Amino acid sequence: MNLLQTSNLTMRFGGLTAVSGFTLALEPGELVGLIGPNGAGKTTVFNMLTGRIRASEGSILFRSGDGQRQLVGLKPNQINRLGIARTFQNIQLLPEMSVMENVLMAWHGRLKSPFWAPVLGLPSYRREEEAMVEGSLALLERVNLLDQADNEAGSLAYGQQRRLEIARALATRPTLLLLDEPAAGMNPRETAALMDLIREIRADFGLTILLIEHDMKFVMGLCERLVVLDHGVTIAAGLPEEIRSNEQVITAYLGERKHAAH
Amino acid sequence: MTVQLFLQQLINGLGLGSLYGLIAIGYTMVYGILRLINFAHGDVMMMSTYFAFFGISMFSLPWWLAALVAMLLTALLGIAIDQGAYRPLRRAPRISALITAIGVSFFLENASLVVFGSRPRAFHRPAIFEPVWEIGSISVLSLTVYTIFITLALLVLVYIIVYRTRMGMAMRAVSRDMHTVPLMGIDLNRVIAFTFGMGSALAAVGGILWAMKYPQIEPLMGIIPGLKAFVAAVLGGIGNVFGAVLGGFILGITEIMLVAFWPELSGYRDAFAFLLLILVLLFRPTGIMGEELPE
Amino acid sequence: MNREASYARARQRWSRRTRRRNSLLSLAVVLLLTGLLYLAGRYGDEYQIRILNMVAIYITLAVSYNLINGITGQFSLEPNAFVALGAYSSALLTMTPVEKEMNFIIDPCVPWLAQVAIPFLPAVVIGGIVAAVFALLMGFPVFRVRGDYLAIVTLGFGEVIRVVANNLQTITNGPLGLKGIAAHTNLWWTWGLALLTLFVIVRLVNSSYGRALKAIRQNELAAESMGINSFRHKLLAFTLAAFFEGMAGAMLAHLITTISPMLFTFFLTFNLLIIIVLGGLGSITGSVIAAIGFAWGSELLRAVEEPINVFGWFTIPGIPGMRMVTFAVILIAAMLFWREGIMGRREFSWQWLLDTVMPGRNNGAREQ
Repeated sequence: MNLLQTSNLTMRFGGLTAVSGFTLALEPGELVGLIGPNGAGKTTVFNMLTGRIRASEGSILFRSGDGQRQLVGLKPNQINRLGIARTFQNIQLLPEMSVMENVLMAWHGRLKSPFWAPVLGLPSYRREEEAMVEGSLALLERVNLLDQADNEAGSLAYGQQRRLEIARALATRPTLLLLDEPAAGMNPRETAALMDLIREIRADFGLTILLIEHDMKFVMGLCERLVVLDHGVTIAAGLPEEIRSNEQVITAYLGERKHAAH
Repeated sequence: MTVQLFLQQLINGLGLGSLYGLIAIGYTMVYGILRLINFAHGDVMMMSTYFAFFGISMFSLPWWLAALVAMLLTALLGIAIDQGAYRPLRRAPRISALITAIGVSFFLENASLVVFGSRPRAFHRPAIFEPVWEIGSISVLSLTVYTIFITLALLVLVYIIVYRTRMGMAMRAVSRDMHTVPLMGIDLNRVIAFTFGMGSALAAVGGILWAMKYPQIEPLMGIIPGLKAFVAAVLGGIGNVFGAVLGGFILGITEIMLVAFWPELSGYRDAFAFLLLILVLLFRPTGIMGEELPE
Repeated sequence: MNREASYARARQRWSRRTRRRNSLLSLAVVLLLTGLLYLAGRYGDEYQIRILNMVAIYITLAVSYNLINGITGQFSLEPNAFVALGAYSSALLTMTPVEKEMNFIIDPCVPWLAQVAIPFLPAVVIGGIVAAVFALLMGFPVFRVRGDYLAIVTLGFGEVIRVVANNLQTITNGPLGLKGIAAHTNLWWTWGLALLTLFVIVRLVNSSYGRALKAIRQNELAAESMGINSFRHKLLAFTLAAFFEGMAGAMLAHLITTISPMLFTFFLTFNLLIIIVLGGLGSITGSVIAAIGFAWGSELLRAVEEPINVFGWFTIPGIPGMRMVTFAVILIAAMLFWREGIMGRREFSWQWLLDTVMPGRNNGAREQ
């Protein structure tokens, strides 16, 4: 069974169709790239998958337990608890809280203790909190932010903030990780380190990863498979080498570069 | 309940509802573009009645001139409040503007108490609005009928402004996406100021007609009508000016009918609007004519 | 810094030893407070005791109000309504049938209430519960839809409570109100409640739940995408705030012994709003400091309304109502020029105090 299966996913905003007929199947463990020119609807797909917006048409089936769950209509926190986590194109950290607190927060969705447990100081809560602290420290070490643990998240450099978002997403223990332009604003050295990090976490946490990115070296070097979106429509899908030489894809991107030149 | 009594109360309800609607338009427009509940709006309506009152009593203006001057002054007051208290907080978290709005509301109420005194003043009802008309066996105050027609006429005017002028288009654009609009060369502050001005002027009409109806004014008179007008705006669909008036009508009619059918409940008539709000939120949060407003 | 050291340093801030040290320090303060209250009770005069009682009640109210407004970031205008609910419920429960008969002269008290008379403590708790139940009922439709409406709904609810209290002659005795409520409230009760409120809310806010509430305030989208059910958490904060506000209302009723619908106006909520804004929205410490300052300071501001005698030469006549105008100006000015208030978002913590007084020697990581 696929981990994720979308069929005919469509999003309409008033008269504008942002995404139409998006169909994608993800096997467990895959590392797939979703690419396309700016405004193609890639983030909209992410928003539909995570429940931030409700798809106008279509279905999203996600493997849950022994069966599948329909994700359309669920709220974001429900979808996250089913096992999908994401990072954002424009970073959505809590800038005033510390790096450590930003990651700690992500465990709350899975907390079993009720609200009176910390008030009464129940040992069951203590144990959960210790586990959260240990887990967060481990994740911070993973993304190389351990010595920043007490600093304000807003004071971090851009690349560090992106890594923090990944750590936070991992803290929610997903099976599917959606990364929205994780390498944006990174220099080549950081980008290479990020590629390694992503490969590592996929292996260590048994993740399936779907990512959006514009950096072609990153995409070609990392992804096993690509899906190309243009104006909301899937114009190509397949292996990186095939996509690289695909006529339509080139035209779509060239079109973008022509506009940018003006 | 006879048919005549029903019709009579219906007209009264529409009259009251018109007043709610006129005030509600201001609420709904400001919420539409700024996502701000302008708590001071009801008190701005109160100020308009005092402007008109002093126009008539101190400056001996004819009532219609006093009304026009009051509308202008109220519009300026609304704009001044926005520019002075809300504009500095455009980029701040939304709760800051809400707190400030409550502060302005409280200020207007209490400053008015200090300056004007808490004693209600009698408001002049012009001769043209005095007669009671008999239509069949229904008797209706002419003011009520005029109120309904003035409201509908103003609604047409609002429609023209919002849907047929460039400023109106700008207003609608801002309510969709406040941040992108300036990039298209639209002066955001002018649009917002215009919205406040227009909403306040309409509230002034509502206020003056209200003052003529009851006919007295006092500094705290804007609180309850303000709350009810907001309920009307939500009921009709927040962000939609037609919805505001429609919501006003519905609220006005149901309130009057409630008291007519169950006079023993008349002490609770103000609580009724609140109940209506809860019901709307439970069963149809976008209101009758509303759409999901973008975040 | 090597790996082991990093881990050790980061862990210390959250360690058991740190927690225990903090608890002992807090306990010491409570004992100190107990001693002070005892002294005040024995040697203080009526005026001073009255102020101390009001300070405690204001602390309870401010800290509760801050939970929903400041920490969770949901603008609400609820306190006067819930205080009224707590006051009326508890008063009606503690009043004996005889006292009720003396009060309900226009219409007799409704039978199921007339015969009831229970001790103070359960009445206070029930007052809190009544408020909490209404909070749940209101919060459910509001938080499901758009938190924006919370302010209007709570503002309207305050008006409704007033209207209902005025009209429900057989339950609330209408505009006459209730007189002769037993004066159960004393320094131990009020400060006990204040400490309980602080205990519960501080521990909640320092836990994972507190982080979730703060996340909702700062970035609800991010919070939701991490699995936090913002609806449930907003409801939790709102209901909890209502619970303590209701109990504070019960304390108030048994302190001033006479309540009427006119007592619980929006002015009470407005005062609390000023307190939490000036203290720093989202800072429990700030709310406490501002509450103390306000309870004391508002006595001073009464002077603006009384005639001021200048050196015995002449008197400036007092202007009634100027106090409220002054408060309104203070709030607007604070929002425009001093939005962070005294504490901003910072909190007092034992860690901070120890680091300031004895730098470098203590448990726990500290800022670079």
